[in-house]
Amino acid sequence: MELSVTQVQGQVPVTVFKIKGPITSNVELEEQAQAAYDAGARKILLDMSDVPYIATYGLRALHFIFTLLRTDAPEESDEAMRQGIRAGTFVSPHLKLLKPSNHVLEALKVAGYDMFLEIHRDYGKALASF
Amino acid sequence: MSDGERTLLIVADPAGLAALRTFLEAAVSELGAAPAVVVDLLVAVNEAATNIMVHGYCGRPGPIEARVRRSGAALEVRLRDRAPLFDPTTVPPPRADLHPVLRPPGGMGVQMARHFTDELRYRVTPDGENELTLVKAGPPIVA
Repeated sequence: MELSVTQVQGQVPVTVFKIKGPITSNVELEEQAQAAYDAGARKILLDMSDVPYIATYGLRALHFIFTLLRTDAPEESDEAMRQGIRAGTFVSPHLKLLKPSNHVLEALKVAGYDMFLEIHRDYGKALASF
Repeated sequence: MSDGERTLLIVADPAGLAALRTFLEAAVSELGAAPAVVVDLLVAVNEAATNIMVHGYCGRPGPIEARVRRSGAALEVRLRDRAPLFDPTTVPPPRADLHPVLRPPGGMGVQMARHFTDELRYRVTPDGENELTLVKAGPPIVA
């Protein structure tokens, strides 16, 4: 897996991870996310357009990044999250995905991660959604 | 295109798994699998082998033998290992009553292997090894 990180200034600063190759390990993605977070990143867009498939260790990394970026804002409290989950409206405001392949999308659905991670097809709209 | 069986023996560690993925991609492609089927098998076999490495051998080095062959229109990948006996086909699906965001990450490997194949078969070999067969049914074969 190759990973490049870019900082983009939209309505808010967004850190874009461009991933190339299959995601079969959680380590590099988690380390890079932690490094970006430590450097101030609070909104991350994962560009998965060149990811042919993702293993469960890659899904583990997505869960790690989701948790890393979650804040203690009232709208992200445990109770608010539970309510959003019950209503089927809860999605992460901090971590979003861009153009996953059909196979990656299928894996996300099997794990149920499409239920809390927004998936975008258009780069500009993805950035504007933060 | 040859129908012959392909075999690889690896040590259950991350480098071994990478070698297994490379081998598998080439082997099932040579056996005529369509690209989408190749990816399905890559994911499923990678999950099964990862579970052997992590849960079977508990991170200690141990052998995994992979055999790939055509069986009619289907493709079969057999994984044999010498970890303590365990039938992964008995692993229950993840709890449906927990939202994925609240579920601890992990524990999805067998579910992925099930989803991306058509059949998982387990047996103990006469030598006392675990043998898991992952089957991808037709129509995977392209001319």
